[in-house]
Amino acid sequence: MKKCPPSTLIPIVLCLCTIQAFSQNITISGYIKDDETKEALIGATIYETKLQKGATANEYGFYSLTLSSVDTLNVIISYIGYMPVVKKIFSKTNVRLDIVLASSTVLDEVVITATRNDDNVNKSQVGVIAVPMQKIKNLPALMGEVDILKIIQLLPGVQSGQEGTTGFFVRGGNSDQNLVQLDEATVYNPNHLFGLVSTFNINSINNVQLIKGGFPAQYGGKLSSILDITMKDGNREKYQVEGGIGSISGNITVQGPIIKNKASFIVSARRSYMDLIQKGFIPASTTLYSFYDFNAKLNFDLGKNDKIYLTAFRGRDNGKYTGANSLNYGIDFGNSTATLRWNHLFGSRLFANTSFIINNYDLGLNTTQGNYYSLLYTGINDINGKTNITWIPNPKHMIDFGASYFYHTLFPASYSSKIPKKGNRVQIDKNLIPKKYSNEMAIYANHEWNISKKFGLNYGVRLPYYTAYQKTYLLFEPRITAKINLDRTTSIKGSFTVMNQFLHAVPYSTASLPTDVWIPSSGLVKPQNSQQYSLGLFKNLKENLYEISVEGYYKDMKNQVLFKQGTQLTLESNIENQLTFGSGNSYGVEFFVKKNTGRLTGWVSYTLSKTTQTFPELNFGNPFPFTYDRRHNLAVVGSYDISKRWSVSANFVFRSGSAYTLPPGLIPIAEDGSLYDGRYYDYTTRNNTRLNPYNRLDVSFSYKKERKMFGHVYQSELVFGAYNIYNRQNPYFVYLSVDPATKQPQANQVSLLPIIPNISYNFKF
Amino acid sequence: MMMKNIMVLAIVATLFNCTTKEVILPQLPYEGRVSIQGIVEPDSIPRVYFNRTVPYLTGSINTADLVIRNAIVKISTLSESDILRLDSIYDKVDCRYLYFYNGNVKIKKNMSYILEINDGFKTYTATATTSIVPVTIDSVSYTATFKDLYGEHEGVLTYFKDILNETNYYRYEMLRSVDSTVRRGEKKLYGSCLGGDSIKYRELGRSVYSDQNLEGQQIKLVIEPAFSHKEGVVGYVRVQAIDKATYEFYDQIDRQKLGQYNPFVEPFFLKEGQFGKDAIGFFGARVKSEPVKFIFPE
Repeated sequence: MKKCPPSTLIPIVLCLCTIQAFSQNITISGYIKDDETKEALIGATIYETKLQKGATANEYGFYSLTLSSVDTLNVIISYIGYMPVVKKIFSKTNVRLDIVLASSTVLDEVVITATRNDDNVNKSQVGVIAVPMQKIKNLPALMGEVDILKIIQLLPGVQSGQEGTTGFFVRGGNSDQNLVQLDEATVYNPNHLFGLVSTFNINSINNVQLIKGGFPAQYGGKLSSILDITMKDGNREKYQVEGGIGSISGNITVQGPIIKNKASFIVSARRSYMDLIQKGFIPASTTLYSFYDFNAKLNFDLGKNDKIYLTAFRGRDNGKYTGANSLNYGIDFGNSTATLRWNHLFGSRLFANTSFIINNYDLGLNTTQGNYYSLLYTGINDINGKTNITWIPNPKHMIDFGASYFYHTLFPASYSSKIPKKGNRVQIDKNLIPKKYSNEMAIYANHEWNISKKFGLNYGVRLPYYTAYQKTYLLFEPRITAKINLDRTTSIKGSFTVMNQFLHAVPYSTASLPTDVWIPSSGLVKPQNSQQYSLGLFKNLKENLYEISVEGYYKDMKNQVLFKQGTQLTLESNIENQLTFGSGNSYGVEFFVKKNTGRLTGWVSYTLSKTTQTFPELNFGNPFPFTYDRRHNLAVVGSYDISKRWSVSANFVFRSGSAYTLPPGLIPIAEDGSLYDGRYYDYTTRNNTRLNPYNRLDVSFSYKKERKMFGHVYQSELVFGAYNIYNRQNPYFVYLSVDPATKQPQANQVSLLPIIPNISYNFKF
Repeated sequence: MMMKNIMVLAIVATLFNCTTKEVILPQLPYEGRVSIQGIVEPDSIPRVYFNRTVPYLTGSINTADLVIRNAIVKISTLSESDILRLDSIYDKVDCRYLYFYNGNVKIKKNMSYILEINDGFKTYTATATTSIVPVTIDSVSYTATFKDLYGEHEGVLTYFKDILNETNYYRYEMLRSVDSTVRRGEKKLYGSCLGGDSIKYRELGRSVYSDQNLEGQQIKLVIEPAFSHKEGVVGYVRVQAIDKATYEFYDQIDRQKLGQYNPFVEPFFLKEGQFGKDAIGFFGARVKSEPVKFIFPE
């Protein structure tokens, strides 16, 4: 027998090695969706039980899990609120496995959790809170309007502004330091009705995720938080109609297939009707407010590896208010966004998302207080393109890299003056406001590395590049989070992140209304910068019945922007020349205890924090408290299922008063102007006084029942309750006046919202 | 139907109705200071106002309680000094006494003066030089409407040429008669004690001006009159040329007053000046132009 010559052995060995290499790993990938609607189940997990490796579905429901090739793979696919599915896989090659999960009514009691199951302990990410939408609906709502932003403000480290002001504040940062995005489009003012209701129709939302620390490198441009909101895609199986009528607004959502299992749509609309009722009964009413919002989304599968999404959003507010305390205002503002996205799968381990986004924001505000009036206009137009590629070579590694580009156009204007005795007030013509253009780009790479069962690392770098009028900034943003598991249910996590921000909303210290002016960075206005450290202990008890966390943070902020003292803007003002720059720091501890299942669910969150600012040109260069430096922030949220149909929920909120400036002394001055009175304030410290603490209790009841109308069965829900049930007069703002006879200074506290009963009726076909 | 209407109205009213209540303001800890305004003007007797500051919630307080008595107030040059004595005049417009320390020796031109005040606890010192050159008013006229930071108002227009090659500061004044029929600002004269009298009153413009970007050019000041007027009322307008210390002080208080009245203006903290952190005030020099007669056209 002839022996094989040695030279022939080499290719055989190579072939065997190659075959061996290919057969070492297989990749299972695909999409995890809701069985009924085919909506992506963001954050669903797939887990192999023998090899003990798993993966999580991304914001499009896509997962990729690379495992050692064995005879049989047993994978469990699960998601909170859904029946888990078990699959056996007998394959030696990569598998495309798209899975649908059926909703489970058994798990209805579960409310908000940090992520999924024990992800809050085991994932190498810190400061991330995911909010499953179906659970938000059970929580009490102002005027019956369940609201994402109101829920976010009940979480540790997050607080609201004054009642009736827009925005939220995360870990001592200003409200402009939060990136709120809807299907990747930035929403600059995501509020209706002065922050009492958000601009997001809850029936059209699939997922909400808040990141307040340990930011992955994909995110940038804001210092304090990312609120990432994903719209539903639309039911791919059947048509669905749901809606509701509440105390102040009605809403409707229609969704359904365009081509079954290939394309679908969702359209959602909401409009207030208080103005219509008022006009009917009080035609000459001087107080009117209306808002609407509209969401629409189309999505198409262009084959197995490509998906296209088109999202549009428009929200608008228009109102005027005549107050009893000489505060009057008129406001008109809105956001419009449009997003075109393309998902592409390069094989089973490489997922790409490319987006093209346009968004517009404008705000016009006129305010009258006493004998003075103020005008403000702010406009922002963005054109944005970005691409992100996710590579998942195996369960230990997930690498994201990509780039983004923004073209910003801003046009701000502001003016205030005494009310003319005769003649007309000044008006702002938005077409005449000088426009400010800038370019913001970034490239980044991020690596999530599950080193072992005990250790995990999530690190990356982002390089933003900004240009405006021959001024450029090229910056470096390292990001790192590390996790150590003490045991299966306990971990310690720490993070360090650097963030930069190129657009700034400059607040007025005296204003009680949304008077922020947006401006871009320039040679004079440097990008804001933060460095944040956090360290936390995360613990789950009794098989995740309870989740507990204690997390401390320290944030250092540079290039913070405020108006110079005595600033009064005119239409001719160069806003930049009215600014002064400084720094801030914030530190605190956040406690969070949550009960996930059972008839009683809910959470307690408490934050102890301190935020200080230092500006060389303000407060004589001495540090002073940030306006929203609230030492204590407590939220207790609970929901109890009385029966299959009845449930009750309640929120209690307590927070320390925010800061404002009061002069401690009076100075008599001679030979001042004859129009003046010779009395001046001896200010010694900025923000030296506190409003009274804020607290309120909201309660609501819900009654669910299946009903019939015109032969069709639908789910009905009656919700009724009260906001601020013990009618506390919480401070909105304080204004000072002087009694002309006695010259005695007096303070008047204005409260905005008394007890507000609410009732709403929701339906779902 | 009636009940439904009432419910709707109740919801609307509840929704949009703010409530206001008076709250007790805390009196913050406050360490009082002194307020000093000292002015030297060639050919005039020096005058120094020396008062105490008071806690914010003090309320109505008599000027007699504010003045710091028995202080030693001295103005001196290299060659002579003048001890100022406490004096007062009754302001019939504001119905109150104005207290100040008055000198005995007239101020001279082109001299450096040192002000020293000792109140028994501390000594406050500053210097001023009377080397300012007066301007000449070219003309004075009137406008029924004018818009500026203070709103829309009428204005007395005063034109003059800035002195070249130096930084200059200016202030408006008008001497005119007032009686109890005249209003100040939005109101009739508050607590006017004029009775049937008519007095000469020196009205001061609320703002002070610098010649920045107007070096050597014609400057126009538009000043809102403090008092109401009729056609034919006569006033004598002067332009004060003031020094930097005077300008900076009155500019600060003007900015602060703007913030007091206008809730949309950022509050202004008064900075310490020549006397250090224990005093708010200034010691400065001024010189006045020759007066120009002006007759209000309406």
